[in-house]
Amino acid sequence: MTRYFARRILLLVPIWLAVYTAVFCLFQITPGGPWDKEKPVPREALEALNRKYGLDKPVAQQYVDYLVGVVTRFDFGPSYRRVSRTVTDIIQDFFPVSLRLGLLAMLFAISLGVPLGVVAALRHNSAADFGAMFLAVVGISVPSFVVGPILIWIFALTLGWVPTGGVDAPRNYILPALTLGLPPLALIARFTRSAMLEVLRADYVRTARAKGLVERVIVLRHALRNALIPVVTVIGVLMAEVMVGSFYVETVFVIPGIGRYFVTSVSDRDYPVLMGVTLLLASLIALANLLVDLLYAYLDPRIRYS
Amino acid sequence: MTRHRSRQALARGLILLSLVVAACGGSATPAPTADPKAPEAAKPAAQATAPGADKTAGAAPVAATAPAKPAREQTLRLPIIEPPTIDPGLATDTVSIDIIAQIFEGLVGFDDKGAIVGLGAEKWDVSPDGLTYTCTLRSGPQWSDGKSVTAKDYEWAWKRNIDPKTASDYATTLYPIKNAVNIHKEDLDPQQLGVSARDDRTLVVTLEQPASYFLRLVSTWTMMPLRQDVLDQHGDTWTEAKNVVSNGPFLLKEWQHDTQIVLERNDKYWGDKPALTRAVMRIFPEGGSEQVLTSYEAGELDTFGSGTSFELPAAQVDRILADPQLKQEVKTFDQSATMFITVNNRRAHFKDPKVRMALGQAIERDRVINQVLKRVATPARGLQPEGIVGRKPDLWAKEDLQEARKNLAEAGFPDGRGFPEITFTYNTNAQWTLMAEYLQQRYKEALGINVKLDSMEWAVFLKWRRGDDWANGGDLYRGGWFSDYEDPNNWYNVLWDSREDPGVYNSGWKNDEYDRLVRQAQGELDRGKREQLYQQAEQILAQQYPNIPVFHYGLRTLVKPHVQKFELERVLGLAPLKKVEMAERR
Repeated sequence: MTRYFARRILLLVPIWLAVYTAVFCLFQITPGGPWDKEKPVPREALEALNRKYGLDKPVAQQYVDYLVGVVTRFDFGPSYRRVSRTVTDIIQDFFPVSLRLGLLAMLFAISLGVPLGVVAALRHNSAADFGAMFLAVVGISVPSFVVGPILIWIFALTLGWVPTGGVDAPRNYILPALTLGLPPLALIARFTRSAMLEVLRADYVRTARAKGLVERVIVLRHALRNALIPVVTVIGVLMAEVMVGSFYVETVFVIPGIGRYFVTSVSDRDYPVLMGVTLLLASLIALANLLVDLLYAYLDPRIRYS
Repeated sequence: MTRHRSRQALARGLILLSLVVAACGGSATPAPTADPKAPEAAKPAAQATAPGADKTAGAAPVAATAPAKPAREQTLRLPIIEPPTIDPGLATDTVSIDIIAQIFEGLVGFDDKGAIVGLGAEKWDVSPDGLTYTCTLRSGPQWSDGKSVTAKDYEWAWKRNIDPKTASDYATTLYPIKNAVNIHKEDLDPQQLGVSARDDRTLVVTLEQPASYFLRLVSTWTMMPLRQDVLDQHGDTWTEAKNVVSNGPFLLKEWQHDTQIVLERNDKYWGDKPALTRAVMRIFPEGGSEQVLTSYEAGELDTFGSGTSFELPAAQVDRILADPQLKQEVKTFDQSATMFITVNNRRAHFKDPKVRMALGQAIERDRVINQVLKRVATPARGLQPEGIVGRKPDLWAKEDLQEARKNLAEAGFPDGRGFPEITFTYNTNAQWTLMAEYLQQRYKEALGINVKLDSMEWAVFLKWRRGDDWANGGDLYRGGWFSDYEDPNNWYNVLWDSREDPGVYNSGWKNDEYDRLVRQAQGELDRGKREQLYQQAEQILAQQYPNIPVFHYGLRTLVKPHVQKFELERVLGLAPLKKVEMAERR
């Protein structure tokens, strides 16, 4: 198990390298650079800027230098656009906000999505089922930039229960977490439902019933545990997606999170920031997958890693 | 200088959303586009008026304003976007400059009538040849850490900013000073710059050539004093709130990145102290004008914005103008700025001024402003905006379709026959897309000219228009200019002189007589003569019509009734907080 874990962690290295290389290549071929401004930048100034950020060196050298900086000093470079800040500053300041919001959103999604799916499966083709699945369809198909403003309109503007945005107080997180959590909630509910439906028809569930076990035990111990395996897979991916921040949710609720930087660093050609944020996302997805694999082993005793 | 651009990516989805919510009669909506698209507007937008004039849109009877009682708490809450830097040597965008203007102070400034007044400088003498400025500094001004502001601080700052190593975009501001160009472009030692501190209170500046607009430049952000010890100690992080040392009427108390900036009144400020004790600037995402509006309507903000960061969302303007309360809070301000269409004068089919005029005369400016773009603006007949000495819009070709057709025919293209298909290039953005589509249709229908549209992302666009693709193959592009300082030099010399930034604004247009006139005017010390020279230059421009003027920008914002004297300047839409007063709320 430990060896397996170590191997998986080591596998992150080639993933990082691949992502780094791909993004680095994209920088090279993107037209327009960080110093393309309204006014012409004199040659001397351009050279000074390039020297300052090491862009005067050959491309291969730049490729290596950045890697060396990351590995030896954990230095992800300066931001081209925010003069007083480094990429590390930006990630340190804003990633925790996205992380907090993402965890809250997932907490909401899982704690409501799984029960909703279970109920829908148990009351298959009943009003409860249709109700739950209608909700799920809405959750998946209505985008967050529609849900968010509607929530703001109701709870902030009309009722005045929460501020319209910002992160000054814990209660500010409520609306964005709901908005961000809604699509994962819907997905989880649908996955849980279909997995449960399948499991409920399985032989061992019939056996459990035949043994005269109480329904609660059948559902929770026998059916749900097995049904959760595909659900956990989705949760892993959703987790990474939600934690790296959502551009829309962060914009609508004025949240200083990392998701925004994904978009702005592209239009600013702020390459170091874009690189840092991309590597962060890649790591999160890889780690979430690892976590999912470990959970499999816990949920299904047949799965053993060695 | 251009204003902040929009984050278009987001806009698409958000517009849809605005529709949804607008349909629900709601007001909360997210959405970006910093770029101004404005209202269906009842009112024919801003008519040019006196500088800083503001008008409430829509007339409705509301309590005649009795002199308001000052509020106990003098705190103004306003939205901004995250400034890229507050280093006066590096700032290039209006948000950064707006903050710099509150927390730093230079040698001179302008009063309400536009006359020069001394700030850091008590007096200044100009030598008869116009080459030497001797400034005597006030003894009062102090840095936020208690040290006196000295002539050395100016000298060091100017030499630092002209040094190519600093890579200041606005180093060009220093160009009239002796040796500046050679330092910036030819590696001359920055110590050779023609500025020196004779003693703590005397700054002597030597110019390369007489430059009557020099004091205008001195008032801008690049010329603010800086503290060498602070910059040396902290490097790039000197602008963080815990490190920064400044000398303006306000001081930077807090800068929580992407969250908020807090300014506090500088109680050691030498001059009239501001009424405001605090300004809390909440940082919104770029293009987050819908969020700002929501927050404003929820009472979390006292104004919709200082300057150009946010424009009222187009989808909301009708509702705002119909709302009895909100419409009272709408304020519009003219800007010293022009949106124009840059014509590639190098191309054979544009060589005849009559062609360029025809393209200009065919545009229906009122329609563009009020129906196509739905924004606040004033139709532009000439290129120079109100307030620029020398300007004479009457000399320019008048909007007139018959004349346009006649001109085109006289240039050899009757009804557009024989005229090649041309391309209009613009940076991708909802507003300029509308503009482009209008032009395409209009030129086809009115002149028989086929126009192809080409849009580019902002950074790509900026690079493109300095490159060969534009110079050799481009036809028209969406141009615009906002005065950095309100002086003819910033227009006639910086934009249209053939040696300046060749190809970008003057787009290959060259007229020797024009160049001679504006270069002479730039050094002319006699005010009357200078104006005359610029007027002659204007005449040439008007006859030659190198580019096509479309409109002069205006700004529109919302201000709560308890906020007094919140006014946006014509230059860069800056909002000087030192004038603002908070009244008791009614």
